[in-house]
Amino acid sequence: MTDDVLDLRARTAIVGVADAASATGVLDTWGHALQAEVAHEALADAGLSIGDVDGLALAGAPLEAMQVAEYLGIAPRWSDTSHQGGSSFESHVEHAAAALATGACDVALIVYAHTPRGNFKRFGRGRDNGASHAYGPAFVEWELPYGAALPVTGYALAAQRHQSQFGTTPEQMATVAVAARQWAAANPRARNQEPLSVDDVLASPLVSGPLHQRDCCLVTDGAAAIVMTRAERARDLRGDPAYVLGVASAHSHLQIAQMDDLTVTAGARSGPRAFAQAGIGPDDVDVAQLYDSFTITVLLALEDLGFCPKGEAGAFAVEQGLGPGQVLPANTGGGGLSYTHPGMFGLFLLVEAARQIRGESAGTAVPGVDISLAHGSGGVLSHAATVILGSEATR
Amino acid sequence: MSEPTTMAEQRRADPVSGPYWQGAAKGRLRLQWCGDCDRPHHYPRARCPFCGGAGLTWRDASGRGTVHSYALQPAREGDGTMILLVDLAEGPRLLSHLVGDRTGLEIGSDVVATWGTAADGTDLLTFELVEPNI
Repeated sequence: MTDDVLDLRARTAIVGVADAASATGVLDTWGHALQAEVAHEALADAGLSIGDVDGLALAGAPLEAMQVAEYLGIAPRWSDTSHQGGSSFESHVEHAAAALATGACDVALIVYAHTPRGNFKRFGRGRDNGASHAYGPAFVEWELPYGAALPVTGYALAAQRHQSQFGTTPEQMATVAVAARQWAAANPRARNQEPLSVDDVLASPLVSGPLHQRDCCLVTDGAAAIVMTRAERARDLRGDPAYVLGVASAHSHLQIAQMDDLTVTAGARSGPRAFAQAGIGPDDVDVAQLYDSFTITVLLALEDLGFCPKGEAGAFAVEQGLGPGQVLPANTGGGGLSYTHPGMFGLFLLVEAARQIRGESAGTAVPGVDISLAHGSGGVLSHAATVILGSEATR
Repeated sequence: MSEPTTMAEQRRADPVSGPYWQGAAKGRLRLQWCGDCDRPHHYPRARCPFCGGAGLTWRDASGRGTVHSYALQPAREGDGTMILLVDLAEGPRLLSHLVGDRTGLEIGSDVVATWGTAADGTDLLTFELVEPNI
């Protein structure tokens, strides 16, 4: 049996280069401005422009790919922020070659800037002017001074907009939390298992208007892991494989003020691409795990993934339903709203999605699952990634 | 010239966003405009986020805008903070606060810039309703 490995030989090339340095060891620009300087210089060297770039790699701080993309005004469909120390950039080339060869992106930009000497001169010891904040120096300069509570305020602004634009009601949003609680009732490890009503959600304290406490995910301890291997080998292992039929990600901004349309997330780009890869559509999905950091997050995902038209997710949640026995069983372990949410829930989505393919669940297994979807959301509605898993019958 | 020490001084000395903060110190809202595509953007950048252009200049903005969205951040005491997203008349969108009378606030409300001071001593752009109570 041969390994199904891509032949990357002579499939990609480095087409432009640039560097910045000084005999004094100090540069007068730093941070994102310096990254922009060398990026544009390298692109010019290649005869390309910033508008050609749709892939970005950097060995940065958490979320730095979104900071840099936002700063440069690009919206990548491929990025790689893997951080392995000094050899990171060789890895970026390897990953970029695979991404390019398979069409994940057309022009990949790999960029790096770090100015410890200049920063010490400018800001003194221990002062980096916001560069070490997870949301980056632009957030520190332009949004942090307003004391917005991250990330809930960003979601509240999106929810307010959705309500105003489409007539979505607080009751419809609350239905998402009620469905999650119904699933959690069958999960003995769920943080909250007692019954929850729409009225309970609306009566819970306002956290960031219009979001109530029960519109918001839990804060709990938790851990998760998955193991993946090639399809040929997977069949020889113990359990039923959950084949990756389609996978795609996208991001659009980091700061909420930089989000083009508060009612359209990057899921509107990741979802259709994942479905296209898998060769199926939303109607084929038997069970869905939709990142439920907040109730609005689920409504936006339903629309952006095509389970219903834009603006109609509130009605979908009430009339079609996400709970046990309803049209789209979703967050079948109770989700981040009722099961667990240790800060990031994305891996839990994948664990539950794979279990459903095997006829298992943290809560209730849905009968006859062949297609199982997991959809993650990161930042402030900033990043989305869609994974579609299939049973043996779908291969 | 002495090195900047306070955060407000650091902001005004910034090679990219300095002109914004120098304007703010005089109560003037400034935006970066691209000489190539003739579009304004915010927050300030070394390159235009729309076309990559480097020929950026600063212009005074009208200070007028409309509410794109809002979120009430409750406080233990008092009325809490009203977070705004404002679409400036010139186009760019930014995060801010609503100050003054909130009566009649809705998406699409006309607002006008006013200035305050942030906790770290930097100038803070805020907005108030043009016609409250309607």
